[in-house]
Amino acid sequence: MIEVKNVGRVYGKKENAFVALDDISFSIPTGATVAIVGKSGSGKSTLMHVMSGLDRPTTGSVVIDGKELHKLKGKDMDNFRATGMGFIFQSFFIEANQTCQQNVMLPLEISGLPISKRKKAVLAALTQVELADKVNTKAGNLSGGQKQRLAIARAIVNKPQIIFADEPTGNLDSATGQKIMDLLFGLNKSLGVTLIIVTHDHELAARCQRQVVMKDGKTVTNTQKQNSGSLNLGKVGK
Amino acid sequence: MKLLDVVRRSGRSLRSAKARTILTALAIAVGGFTLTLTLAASNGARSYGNNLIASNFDPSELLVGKDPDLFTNKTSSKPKEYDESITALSNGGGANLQFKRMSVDDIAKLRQNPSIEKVRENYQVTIQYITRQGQKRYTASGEAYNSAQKPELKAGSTPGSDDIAAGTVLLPDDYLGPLGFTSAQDAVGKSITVTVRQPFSTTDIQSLAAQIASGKAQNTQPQPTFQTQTKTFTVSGVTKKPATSFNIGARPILLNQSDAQILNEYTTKGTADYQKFIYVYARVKNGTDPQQLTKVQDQLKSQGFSVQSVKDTQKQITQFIDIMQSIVSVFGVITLIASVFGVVNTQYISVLERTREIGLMKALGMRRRDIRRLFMLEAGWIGFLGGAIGAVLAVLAGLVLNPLITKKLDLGTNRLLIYQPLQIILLIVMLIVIATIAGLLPARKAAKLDPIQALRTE
Repeated sequence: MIEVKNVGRVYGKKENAFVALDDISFSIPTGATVAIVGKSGSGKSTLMHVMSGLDRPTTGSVVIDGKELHKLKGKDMDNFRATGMGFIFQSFFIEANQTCQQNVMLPLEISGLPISKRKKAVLAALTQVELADKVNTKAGNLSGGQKQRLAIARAIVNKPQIIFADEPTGNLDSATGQKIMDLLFGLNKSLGVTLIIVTHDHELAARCQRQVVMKDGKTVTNTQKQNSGSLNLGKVGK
Repeated sequence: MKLLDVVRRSGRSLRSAKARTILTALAIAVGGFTLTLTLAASNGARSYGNNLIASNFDPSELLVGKDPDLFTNKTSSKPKEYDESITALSNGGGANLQFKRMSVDDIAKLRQNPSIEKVRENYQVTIQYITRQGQKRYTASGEAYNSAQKPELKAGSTPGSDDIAAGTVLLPDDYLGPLGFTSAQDAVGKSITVTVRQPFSTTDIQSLAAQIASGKAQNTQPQPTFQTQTKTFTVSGVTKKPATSFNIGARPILLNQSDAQILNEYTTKGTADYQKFIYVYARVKNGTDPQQLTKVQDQLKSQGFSVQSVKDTQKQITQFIDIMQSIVSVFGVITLIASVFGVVNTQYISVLERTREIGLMKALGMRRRDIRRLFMLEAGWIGFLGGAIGAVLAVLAGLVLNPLITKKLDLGTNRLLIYQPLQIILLIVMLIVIATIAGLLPARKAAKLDPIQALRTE
């Protein structure tokens, strides 16, 4: 369960102040799929950064499973990011001159998993994204869709509860994007992982159980699909 | 993050920027090369110095002289109070070194000293010429045999620690051909003649005196007819040019101590050089005990002698080598300082290039400390590479240069470049540490990067 409580984020000071997030509140139950939608500059990326602990809110708080995220100390925050979250980015951010295995192993190294268990975990993650045969291939030699699948494998290798995806299909053609979406929603079902997707793509947003639409740092609409009654409705933006 | 992971990851990032890594490492390698060679050359010089001393001096012998400047490095320009024993040694270029000398009385005083086992005068003989039957005459010099100098022989033999037998000589191999010997072996047992000359023509002085006495001085200058003496010696051995020798000019013929004395006194009698010595050798009882040696040394100094032990000589040589080593090391260190800037620069570029990667690692929860370590270790790897390349090149250079230098300088079995693995390892460790420290600033920059900004960089 992720609770976003009255989160505000202001950049700069006094007359130069820029309000990026303005009193945002909603909550996401464990295992849900959420799309954060909005134009560029609407604050959706900032919201994601605050929710993932990369950025601090100026006011309000983010509570994950009862723990207030931004009250964690540096080390615990790093630990939480290393084991509790996975990240997927628009431009993949994979190391082209390293092998698939080395790319996927990075989170395991960061979280300090014993070396003996790493290969198995990497192979399991690569199998889930159907890249098991590319273990020793250089990441640079993969196609765009394969690169994003590799990034997904890296995001799930530590078995996190939450995956943040920032425009995961933004750099892909629609057919490949479709496959990536299928993969993400499939993982949401099979692993029960909470999926938070920042996207422009309405088709992708429509597949999520819930959409948070952002405009000028506020949530404009906060809609929920009819068939997902278990979801908790948050406060609609002012 | 485990340290091993950081080490491996840093090595991997270096491999992905090979050209840059190797170029930066080469800058360090220049310093590493210079320092390795300097160390090796100093080792070699020290070892050569020690061999030189070991094969030229008996460690329990002291050199004892009278002149206070004799064993100091500086030659005093102050005038000395005159005494009869002073002689001038021409130093070339018109400069004279004036030394007070040991007299027979001084030597007797040494002989009376209960701590001194034996005093050996350092007889040098000015030989007019040497020859043998049916051969031409050749210039030569002679010297008393010194068993501590262990001459290397081509043929024949020397008695262990004793003097060579009276009436025999050790002949330098340079004379083999000129004197008509077919080989070194051929010379052993054959006889040669040594001719020495008196300093004054006594017959002329007598005839002059007679003329003065008779009051009939003649206008013609008397033609000096010097009296000479020729002695026959048996060659008991043939010496070859030693690798470790202080002798610069032609090697002397080595004579028995008393033969050398007779010849020396024959050529100096009536001159100021007669029975005067710049220094003599005094062997100390139980002189292998350094405390005893120092005690006797101090005692002799208090009696007005100038004394030098083998250790002092060694110290002088070592001091000289140390100075040379420091001078050359300075150049190596300057190169290192320059290469440190190279490392800093390379690492800054690396941080810039990998902003996104750093952002990702931070987003994935990598700790600041680990990112800092990652970049410092990268710098450390560059230091290791540089040190290793430099050391390997220096050792290879040694393999090529050593035989050439040894041949050129006639060092025998001595090597000028001596590599000590421990020194090289320490040097490389030092380079790793220096490079790691150089990587500190860029590493801090990397650790401080804001992941949000970093991930925005496309």
